[in-house]
Amino acid sequence: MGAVVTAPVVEPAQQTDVVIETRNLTKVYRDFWGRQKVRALNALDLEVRRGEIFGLLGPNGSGKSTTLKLLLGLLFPTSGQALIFGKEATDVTKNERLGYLPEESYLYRFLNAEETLDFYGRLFNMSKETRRQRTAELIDMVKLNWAKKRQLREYSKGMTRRIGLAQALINDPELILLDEPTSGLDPIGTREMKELIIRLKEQGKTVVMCSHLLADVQDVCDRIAILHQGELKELGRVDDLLMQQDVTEIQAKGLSEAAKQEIQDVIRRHHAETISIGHPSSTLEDLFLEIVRDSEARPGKRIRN
Amino acid sequence: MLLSYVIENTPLRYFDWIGSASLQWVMVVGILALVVVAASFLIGTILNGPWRTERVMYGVLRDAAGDLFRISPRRVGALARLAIQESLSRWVLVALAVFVVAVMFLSWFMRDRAVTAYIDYLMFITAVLVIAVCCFLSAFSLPTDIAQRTIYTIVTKPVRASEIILGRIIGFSTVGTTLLVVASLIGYVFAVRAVTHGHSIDPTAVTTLTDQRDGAVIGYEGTIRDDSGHSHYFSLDKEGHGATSVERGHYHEITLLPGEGDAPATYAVTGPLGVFQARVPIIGDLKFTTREGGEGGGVNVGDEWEYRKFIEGATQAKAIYTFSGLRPELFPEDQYPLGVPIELNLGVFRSYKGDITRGILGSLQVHRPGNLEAKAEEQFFTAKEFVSDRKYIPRKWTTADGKEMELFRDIVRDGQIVVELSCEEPAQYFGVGRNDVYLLAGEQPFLWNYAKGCLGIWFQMVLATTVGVMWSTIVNTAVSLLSTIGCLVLGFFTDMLVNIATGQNLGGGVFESMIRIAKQENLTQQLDATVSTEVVKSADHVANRFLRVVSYILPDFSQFYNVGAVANGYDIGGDAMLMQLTAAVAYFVPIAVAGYFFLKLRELAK
Repeated sequence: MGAVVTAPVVEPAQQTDVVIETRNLTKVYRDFWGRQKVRALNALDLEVRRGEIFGLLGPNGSGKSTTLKLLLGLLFPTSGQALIFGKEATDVTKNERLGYLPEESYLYRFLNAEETLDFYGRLFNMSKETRRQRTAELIDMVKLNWAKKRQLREYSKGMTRRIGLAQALINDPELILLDEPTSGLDPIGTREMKELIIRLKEQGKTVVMCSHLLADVQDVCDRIAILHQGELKELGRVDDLLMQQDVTEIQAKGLSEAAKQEIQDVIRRHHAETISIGHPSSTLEDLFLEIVRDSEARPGKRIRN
Repeated sequence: MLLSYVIENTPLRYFDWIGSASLQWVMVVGILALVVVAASFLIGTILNGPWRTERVMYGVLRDAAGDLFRISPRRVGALARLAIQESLSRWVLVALAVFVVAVMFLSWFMRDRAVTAYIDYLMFITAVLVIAVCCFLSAFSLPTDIAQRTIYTIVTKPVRASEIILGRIIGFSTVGTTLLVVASLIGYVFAVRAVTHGHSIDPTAVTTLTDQRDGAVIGYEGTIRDDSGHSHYFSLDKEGHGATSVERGHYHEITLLPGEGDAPATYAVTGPLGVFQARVPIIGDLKFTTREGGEGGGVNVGDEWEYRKFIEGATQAKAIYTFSGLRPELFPEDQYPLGVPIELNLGVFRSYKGDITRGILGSLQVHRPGNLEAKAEEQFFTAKEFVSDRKYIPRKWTTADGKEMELFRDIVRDGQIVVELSCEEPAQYFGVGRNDVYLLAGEQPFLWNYAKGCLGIWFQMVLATTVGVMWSTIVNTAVSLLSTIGCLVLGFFTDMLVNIATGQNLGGGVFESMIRIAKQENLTQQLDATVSTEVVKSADHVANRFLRVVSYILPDFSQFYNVGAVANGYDIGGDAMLMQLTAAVAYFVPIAVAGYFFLKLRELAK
C-alpha cells in the first residue's frame, strides 16, 4: 500500500500518555430472562499508551472482540469502566479522534469506493474540499484507483478490506482500532498492512489490533495482552514476554569448525569476537500455546511475571 | 352540482382548538415519556441488572440535551442521502411503476363512476403507495444495518443517535415525498383527462315543449349521449338557456344559438361543470324546534347514524341555522349574480311512499336574528337527495307592499342571518346535521385544494416513517414492520378504538367479541350470566383501560386524511391545515425522541 499524506503530528509521542484505560471491565451476556449466559470478559485492567502498537491476542471466544466493542461503545459493560482519551466509551465525541476497522468490512455495498469515503468524511463534518482530497489520497494509498467507481458489491474480500481500512483512516485518527487487520489479505497485502501499521506508529498514532495471526502481532506490536476465556493471561512488551530467562544465548562470528565443538573454550582460547550474550527468545506462537494449555489446565486469572 | 357529502366534523378555528389540543398533547407526551422510561428500564434491567441500567439511563438523560441540540446538518444530510441511496438500491421505484399500471387500468373499473370517485380513488391509491413504501423502508433499514453490522461503521464515527434517527426520517421522507409528488401529478393529469369531455346536440333530436292552450314555445328538452354510452337529460327554457341533469357528478350548461336566416338552430354545450371545485362553506349554528314550535326537537327516525336529526313536515318543526361573519365582499355579485348561494344536503325520510318520482317539498325562510318580521321571501323547493342542491338568497327584492329590500342592508345584522328550513309535506321528514346546510363564500382553485389534500397525505407519510424508524430502533425487521403497520391501522381507526375502550362499542370489548365470534352470537344479544362471562367482562375492563392509554398515544392518522373533502369539492381551510401541521409536529417530536432514547439505550453489537 502506498504512502498517504497525513496531517503533521502536533504532539510528539509520549509513552506515558494513556489513550485507553479499562478498569475492572466486565461483560456478562444474559438471556431474555436475565440469566447469565456467558461471562465474556472478566475484570479487565488495561492501559494503552500513546504512540504504541498494542496487540490483543486470544483464541476464539477469549473476549478480545468484546473488549474492542466495549471500547467502541457498541456494547455496554456489565461492570467496570472503559475510557478512551479519558472519556467514557459511550461518549460519541471520542470518535472524532478514532478510526475503526471491523473484523469484516461492514460497508454499504450499494456505494462505490469514492461514495463510501465521501460518506464517512461527511460523518466527520469534513468540508467538501477536504473530503475530496482525503478520498483521493486514501484510494491511492489502498491502491484502488482502478476500481473507485465500482460498487462495493463487486469487490473481492481483499479489496473490501482495503476500502475498509481507508474508511478507518478518513479522519486521520490518533487512535486506530484494527480487528483482524490482515484477514482476507494476500501475502503482499498482509506485508503492506503491517508496514502501514508501523508507519502509523511512526506518525505518532496509537494502534490497537486484535489478531489470530501470531506472526503478524509479533512483527508489529510493542506490547500485547493475551486473553483466554475472558481473563487477561499475559500483558507486557513483546520482547520481554518472549525472553527465556533461564537460558543464555551466545552469538559469535568467524569461528572455525573446530571451535564450534567447544564453544566456550574456543571463545576464550581463540580470542574470537563475541557479538552478543543474552537470553534467547521463543516464538509468540510457543508462548501463546503454552498459555492456552496452562489456562485450560488451571482455570483462573493469572498473569505471568 | 356535486354529489352530497357529509362533513361530519365541524371545522374548528385554530385558536379555539390550540388550547385544549396543547393540554392533551402535554398529557400524551407525559404518558409516552412514562411508557418509554418504564420500558427502557425494564429491558435494561433484564439485560444488565437494575443498578447498571439506572446508571446507563442517567448517562443517557445527561447526554440527551447535547445530542438533541448539537445536531450536525452535514451528518444528518449524509445519513439522509444514504437512506435515499439505500431506498433506490431496494428498487423503490418499482412501487411507482405499480402505481402507473394501477392508474392505467383504473378507468376499466371507474367507467360509470362519478368524478369524485376518480379523485377519491386516485388519492387513496397515492396515499397507500407512499405510506406503504415508507413503512417498509423505515421498518427494514435500521434492523438490517444492525444485522449486517454496517451500523458499526456509523456509530464508531462522531454520529449522535439523534442524527441517525433524523437522517433516516428525512431520507425516507424525501423518497416518500418524491413518490407523492410524481404519483399525485400523474393522478391529477389522469383525473383531468378522464373527466374532460364534450357533447354535441343533434337539433332534430330536441323536443320543443309548447303550451297546450296557445301553442307558444315554453322550452326544449332532450337527451345527449356520447359513444361510450354516457348521457344526460337536458331541459332549456323558452330563451334556450338550461342545463343537463347531473350524471357521474357533473353537468353541462346548454345555450340555444338561433341560426342565421334559414340556417337551423345549433346548441352550445359547455364542458363538464360542477367538478374540480373547492367550495368554501360558511357553517352555521343549528337548533331545532319541535312540531309544536317549542325549543328542542329534531327526531330520530330509527337510523343508527345519529349525526342527522329529522323534522316532520307540515308542522312547526324547523331546522334553524344562524350564520355569522357575513360580509358582502364574501359573495361578490359578479361571481354570484343570483344572490348569496346556500347549499342543501338533505336527507329525506318518507313515512309513506307517495309519488316516488317526485321530491318532497320544503321551504327556506331567511330573516334577521331575533326579528321574524325582517325577512326575505320564503322559497319553496323540491328536495334533492344525494346531491348538493344550490339555492340563492336574493340580494334585493320587493315586498308585497312595494317596499324595496336589500339583504345586507335590511336583514343581515352584525354579520348574522337566520335561515329556517321546513318540510312542507305531512308525515314526511327532512334530516339535517349542522354541516348539511351552509352558505358558500366563493371557491378556491381546485389544484391548490388538491395540493392541500396531498399535504395531508404527506403528514401521514412522514409520521408513518417516524413510527417505522422508532420501532426499528428496538425490534428486528419483521416485528418492526408489523408494529408499524399495527400503529397505522389503529391510528386510522382511533375513533373505533376509543369506542371499544370506553365501552360504547356494540358487542363488548376484545375478549367479549372473541366469545361472540366463537359462539356465533350477534352483537346485541346479552351473553348468558355465567362465571365465565363475568371473567371475560373483567378481562375486557382491564383491556379497555389499556386501549384507552393506547388511543391517547397513537397518532390519529385519520385527521390528516383530507381526500374526502378534496374529492367532494370542499376547500380545506387554512385553519384546518394549520391544525394538521401542528398535530403532525406534535406527534413527530415525541415519537422521534422516543426513537432516540431506544437507540441510545440499546447495544448495537452482540
